[in-house]
Amino acid sequence: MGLIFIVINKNITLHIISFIIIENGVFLMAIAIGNQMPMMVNTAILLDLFVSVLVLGVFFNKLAYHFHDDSSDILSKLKD
Amino acid sequence: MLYVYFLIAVFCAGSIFLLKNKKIMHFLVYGFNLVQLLFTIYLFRELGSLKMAFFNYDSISVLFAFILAVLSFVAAVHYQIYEYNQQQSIRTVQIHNAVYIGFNVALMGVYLSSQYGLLWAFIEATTLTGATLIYHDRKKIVLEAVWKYVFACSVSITLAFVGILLLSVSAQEVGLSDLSFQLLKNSALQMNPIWLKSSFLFILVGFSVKMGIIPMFNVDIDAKDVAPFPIGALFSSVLLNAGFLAVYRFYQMFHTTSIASWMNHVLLISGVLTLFFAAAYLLKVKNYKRMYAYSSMEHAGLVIIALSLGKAGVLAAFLHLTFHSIVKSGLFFQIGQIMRLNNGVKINITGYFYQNPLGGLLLLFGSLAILGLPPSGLFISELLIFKSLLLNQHWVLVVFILLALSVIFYILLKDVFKLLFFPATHKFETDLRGTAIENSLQMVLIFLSIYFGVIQNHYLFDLIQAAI
Repeated sequence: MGLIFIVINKNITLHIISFIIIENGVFLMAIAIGNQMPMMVNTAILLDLFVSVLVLGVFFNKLAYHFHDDSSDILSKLKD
Repeated sequence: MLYVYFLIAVFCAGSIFLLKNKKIMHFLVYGFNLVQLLFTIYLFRELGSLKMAFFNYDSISVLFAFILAVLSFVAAVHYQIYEYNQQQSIRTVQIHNAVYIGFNVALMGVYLSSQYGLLWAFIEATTLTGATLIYHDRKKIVLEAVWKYVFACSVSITLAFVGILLLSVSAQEVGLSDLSFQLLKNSALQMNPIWLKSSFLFILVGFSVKMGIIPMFNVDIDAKDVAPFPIGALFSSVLLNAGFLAVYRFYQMFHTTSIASWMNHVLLISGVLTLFFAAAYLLKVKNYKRMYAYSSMEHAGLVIIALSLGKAGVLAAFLHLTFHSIVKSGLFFQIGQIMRLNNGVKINITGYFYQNPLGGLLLLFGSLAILGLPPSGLFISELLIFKSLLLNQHWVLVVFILLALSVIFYILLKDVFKLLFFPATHKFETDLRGTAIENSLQMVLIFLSIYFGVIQNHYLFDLIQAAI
């Protein structure tokens, strides 16, 4: 569902929201399966997710600052 | 010992944030690299006897950790020169150096971890630290690449996590309580193949972003293109190894089960497609850094093909990865010199051999080595790959792979000769030529691969043989 959202939307904010949809889906799936990993591994995974959302936020702010536009069309300069 | 290593890393990275002097920062990074090298040697000596919670390594981990320790030191030396020539601000160098240590620790964690969950966490950590390293030159085009890299990596690594969850479903069915490689391997035969197949697909797709193979290769190429060249070198050597290791761990556990032949087919398809895409993209490449990034992609494809060919193939794959890491990082460091002398790496630069004879010679030897011409080590591993392809009766595939390889060979050699020997179109700036230490380090890297090609090193073979 989240992947479809990423493909059909052209807006970077919506991309982030769809990423969070994917994460929620994965989280629900993890609960449904039942917890298997040791505590330390779980902590590491949680920390990673936290930092990844943080980093996405930081770069999103930079993008907004540099481009003043949140359509993903602006990100098409880089190619061969 | 492992905790000492982690503590020193935290200490170095933390104190870099408190300092205001660039020289001491670089000194701390070198100190950390030394500790890393000593730690790797310690791991090698204690191989098989050391028991650590969550971290249980084999000889492949030691091999990759050694490559990481050496290349990370060389990259740090080059970064200091790069940063000095660009007159970067203290703040930028501070962030870069601190995150650089974090990147090293994350890679070491990937190599050493004995659990799928932990391995996933460290791979995600390499994404986050790697993204910060790419965003070194504060430019719009870099920002674009970083955004794409972080986003695509996060999404595809989440897919890999779905694969790990599916794996844990099948582990639960046979009553395992955690996902350590040893336990999974022991009860691999009783697991449900459907869960394993879907899990493998998710894991291969998810970690392909780190290796730069089909289907998620684009962001990896962009990242290598815009990152500072020492980081590009690390991305196409040690990070590629980490991605490969993540896929290999799965393969290692389940290559005795009933899904083995299906896994081999998937790997073979992915590898051949990667080779074709690399050849096709190389046809219209406009920049030397991207050219070598696509060449990394080609080698990742070859390695994935080799993995699907059974035991002899796996040996060839690890040899290939070792040699490729050495040569490719040497080439990326040389590309850094070209960038400095010509303000860029566009395909229209010519006459580099007259501008900088020693550097030109190194680039020539490195390119011949990366193409797998006989004196280089890559020749041996490619020969082994083709031998096992023929032993597995893949006649048609061999023809296709050779076709793709010859296209790549032609384009790479054409562009390198144009860069080196065509008459120069603009005036030389020769005052920025590489320093002695730069050139000698690159020379060591490139000639090391030729050395391995000429003289059989039984240590290397024993290390790899012990693991497969």
